[in-house]
Amino acid sequence: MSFPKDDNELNNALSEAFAPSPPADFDAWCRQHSQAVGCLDPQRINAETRRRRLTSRTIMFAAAAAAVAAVWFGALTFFVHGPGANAFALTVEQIRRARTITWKNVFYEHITSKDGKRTWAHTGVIECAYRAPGLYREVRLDDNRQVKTVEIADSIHGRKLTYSLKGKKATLSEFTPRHDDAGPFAFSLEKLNSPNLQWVGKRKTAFGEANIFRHTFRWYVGRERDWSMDLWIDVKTKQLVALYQPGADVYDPEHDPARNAPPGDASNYSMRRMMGGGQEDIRYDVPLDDSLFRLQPPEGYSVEVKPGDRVTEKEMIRYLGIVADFNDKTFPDEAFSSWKLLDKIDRARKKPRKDLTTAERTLLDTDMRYGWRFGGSTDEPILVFFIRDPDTTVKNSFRYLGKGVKLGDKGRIVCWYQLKGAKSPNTYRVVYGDLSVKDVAPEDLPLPVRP
Amino acid sequence: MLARTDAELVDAARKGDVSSFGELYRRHYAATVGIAYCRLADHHLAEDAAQEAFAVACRDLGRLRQMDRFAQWLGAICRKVAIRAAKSRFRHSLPEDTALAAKTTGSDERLEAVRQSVERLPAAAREVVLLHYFSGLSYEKIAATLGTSPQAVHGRLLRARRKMAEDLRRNGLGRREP
Repeated sequence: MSFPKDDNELNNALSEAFAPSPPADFDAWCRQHSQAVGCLDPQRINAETRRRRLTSRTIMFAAAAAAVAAVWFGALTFFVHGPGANAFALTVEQIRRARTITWKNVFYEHITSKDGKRTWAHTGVIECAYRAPGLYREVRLDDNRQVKTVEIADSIHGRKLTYSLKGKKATLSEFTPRHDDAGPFAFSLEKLNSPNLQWVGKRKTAFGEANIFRHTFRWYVGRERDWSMDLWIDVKTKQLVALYQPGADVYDPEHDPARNAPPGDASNYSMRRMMGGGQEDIRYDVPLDDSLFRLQPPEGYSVEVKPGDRVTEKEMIRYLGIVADFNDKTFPDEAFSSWKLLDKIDRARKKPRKDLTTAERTLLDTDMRYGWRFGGSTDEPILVFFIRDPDTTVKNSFRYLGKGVKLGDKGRIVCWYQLKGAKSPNTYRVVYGDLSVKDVAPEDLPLPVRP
Repeated sequence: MLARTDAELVDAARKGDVSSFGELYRRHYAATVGIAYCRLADHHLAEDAAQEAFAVACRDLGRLRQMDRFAQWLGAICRKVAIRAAKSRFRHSLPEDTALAAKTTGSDERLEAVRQSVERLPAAAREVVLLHYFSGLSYEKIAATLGTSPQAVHGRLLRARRKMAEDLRRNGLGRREP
C-alpha cells in the first residue's frame, strides 16, 4: 500500500512531521539585541523618516528627470537623427516629386465687433491646388463655404488671373512672384532638415495619425516674439499632411477661448487680428484637370489687365547694400547668400529688438517688408529682380563679383547685368561697392560676358 | 478590548513604546521562524535568522512606509536574512555538516519522507506549507503575512499537498512495508 493513501493522511503526517514552532521570548530577544531596541527612539525615527522622504523625493525627481531626458533624447535620436532621418527623407522626396498637390489654406483671426464689446474667432479657408511646374489655383470661400474668388497663377511665366463670381470680373496680372515655382511646400524642406526641429507629440488626422515636429525661432511682426512652425508628418505614409504657423505652443485654435463666442457680423467690425494659419489636408498626386489651371476666366467675364508688383532696380541695389552692411560691411561671397548668412540672421532674430544693431534691424525689417510683398525672406529682392521677373533683365546677363568687396569701395565691381528695354541695349549696368551704377560696354568689363 | 492593529503597534513603537514592538514580536515570531526555516531547514538557524530579522526591522522601523503591511515587510526582511545565512552556512560548512543539517530528528520513516518531500517543493509552496504546519498559522494569518487572500492560501496548500503526494508515490520513499 502506498503512502499517502489520501489527502487526510498526508495532512496528518505533515502536522506530525514538524515540531511546534518555539515560543516567542521577547525579553530574551531584547537582551540579545539591546542596540536594536535602542533604535526605537522617536527623534531618531523622525529624522530617519525625514531623511528617507528627502532621499526618496530626490531619487524620484532624478529618475523623472532622467526618464524625461531619455524619452526626449530618444525621440530626437529616433525622429531626427536616427530612423527619423529616413522618415524625413521620404517626406522631402514626396514633396519634391509630387506632380500635383491639393491642400487647404486656413487662417484664424479674432474679429471684434464695431462697439468693441465682443470678440469671436473666425476661420477662413482657401482651397488650393498645385500642378508642376509652377501652376497654382486658389479658391476662396465665404463663411457659407460658397466660392467667392478664384486665383490661377503661373509662377514660371509670371502671370496671374483672378476672378470674382460676384460681378463677373476678372483681372490678369502680368507678374506674380508670390508663388514658389519649386512647389508650394518647397519652403518646408529647409525646416525638415533643420537641427532645430523637435518632436512634440501625435495628433489624430482625417487619414489616421500624425507625428508633430516643431521648428522654433525668434521672429517679429511689429514686436519680437518666439515663433514656431508645426509640421505634421503622417505616421504611416511619412507625408507632410499639415503645417501650422505659429505652432500650437503659440496659438492653438482648438483651445482658443474665443472659439466658443457666438459669431457676429464679420462685415461690421472694429478690429480683425490674425492669430495664425496653416496648410492642412495636404494630398499628393491627386488627378487634376488641366482646365483648372488655364489663365482664362469663364465665359461672360470682363477682363482687366494690370501690371504686377515688381522690384525696381533701385530697390535691388539698395538691398545689396543692406546685406553688405549686415555682413560686416562686406558684400557676401554669393549673390543669393541667405543660406550662408542663415546662422547670423538667426542669431539676430533671437536678439531682443533693442539689442539689434542698425544693420541687423534694417535687414530684418526689410526682409519682413519683402516677405509681405512677395512671400519670401532673405534674398527675395535679388531673386525677384534677376530670376523671377522675366521682364527686368536679359536672361543669363547677371554676373556677381561682390565676394570680399567692401561696402563703399567705388573702385570694385559688385555685379553687372543687362536691363531689358534699355536705351543702350549693348551696354551692361555695373554696380560698384559704393552702390553707384554705370553703363559699361561689354569690352570694358573685366571679364568676358556670356554669349 | 480589541487587539491593536499592526499599524497602531508600529506607530506606537516608532514613538518609543518598546512594549508595542514586543507585541509585534510575539504576534509575528512564529511566521518569521517559518519563513526562515523554509530557507534554512534547521530549527535553530531559523530562530537565529528570525531574531536577526526582528533586529533589522527594529532598526529600520522608520523606513516602513505602509505601517499596516508590517507583516509582509518583516517577511521580506526575514527572507533576505535567511538567504544570507544559508549562503554563509553553505560556504562555511563541510559537506558532511550540510548533510547532517539536512537531517531532522524524526525517527519515523514516513515523517522523514514527508520532510524531504517538503524540501523538494518550490520555495513559494514550501513557504505556505511550513507556515501552516510548522508555524501553525491559520489561513488568515498566512494570507496577512504573504499579502494574499485566505482562499489563495488554501489553493496553494492544496496544490502543494498534491505535489507532495505525487512525489512521495513516485519516489516510493514512503512505501509501507506489507
